[in-house]
Amino acid sequence: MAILSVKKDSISLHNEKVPHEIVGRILQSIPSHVETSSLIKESGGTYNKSLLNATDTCKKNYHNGFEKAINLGIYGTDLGYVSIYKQNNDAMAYLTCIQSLAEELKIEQFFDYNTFKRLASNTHNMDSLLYLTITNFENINNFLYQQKRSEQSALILTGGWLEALYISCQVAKENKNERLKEKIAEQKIVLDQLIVLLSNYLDDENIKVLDADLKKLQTVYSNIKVINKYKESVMEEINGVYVMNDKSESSIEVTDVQIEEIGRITESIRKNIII
Amino acid sequence: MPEECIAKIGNGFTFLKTYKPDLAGKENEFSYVFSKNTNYMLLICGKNNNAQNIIATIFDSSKKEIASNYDKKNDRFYPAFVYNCTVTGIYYMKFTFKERIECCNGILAFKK
Repeated sequence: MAILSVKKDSISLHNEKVPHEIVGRILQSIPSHVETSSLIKESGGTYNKSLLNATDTCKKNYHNGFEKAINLGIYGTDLGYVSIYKQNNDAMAYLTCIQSLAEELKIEQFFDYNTFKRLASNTHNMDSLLYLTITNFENINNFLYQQKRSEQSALILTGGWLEALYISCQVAKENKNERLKEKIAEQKIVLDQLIVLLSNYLDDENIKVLDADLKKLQTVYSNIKVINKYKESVMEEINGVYVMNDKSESSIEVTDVQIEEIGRITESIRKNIII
Repeated sequence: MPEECIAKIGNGFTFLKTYKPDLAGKENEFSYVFSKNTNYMLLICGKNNNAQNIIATIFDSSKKEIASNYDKKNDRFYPAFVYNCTVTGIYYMKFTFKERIECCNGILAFKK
């Protein structure tokens, strides 16, 4: 794979081991936490605010760029979770935290707080709020990438991903849902991508610690087996839309013990981040 | 405008991401981790929000072509297509153009 060969060659550009263009591709490829939050809701998970990062401490707890960026990602996922459950009262508190951290990271231009506030004031607007949250984070990532501040972008994405994984694992403890379990197991692919991304910034002590923690998680994931059987797909037109039905099959061999271990490590990493 | 394109997302699908292909061809390939048991819809909105002369193709992790909005047999461009994903992995979305046109937005949405 291109990413691995690039890593092996350790090409250096703008103090990055992975070329800037490849960094951009990895940043683009990280899936949205919205998919995970939707699955949690669909699997019967009830809204649980206690799973989320507290909003009363966001202004005083985070002191350096690392803490601010990674917690901005965490709050972004929390806002997505709150929006999917249409909890507009809680959305305001998360918006305030996001605005505060964005200001401190000098990326507040991407948040039109008044529009967010208007949308969050009505449960009927929660889909629009979700859309605005996703596109604003997309714009932030593009901006940081262009400004050669990709490490902050990587931290925002890592924080968002970690929070979604943490919430999933907590829900999975109570709700033995096979799809949720598979979703947690599938994160092996994303974790590998994030570790390649963060390998660029190991000069930063905080990122070095985070990288070591994520590698503990990677060790557990390395024992999860994914078996794919490829088959030809079938294309058909349904109501004017071209639909491609993939006939390939995939199975994931993951145990409850492995899910619990992933949950335990994720909780521990997150605890050190949210302080 | 991406907003107009997003408004065309089909019932039951949730917006995920926007892509802005560059006609010059430098950044026309994007990757994304797709999940099994998920339907992904890729909408293509060019000038006047139609997909004429824009080919969006999805490739799997081994770069094998698996889906496209372009029906080669009938030379027809669909403005949207759905890929029913059964294998989790990294997928690539490539945008190419049959002729020089005003470009365009790609919108990715999903449904479980």
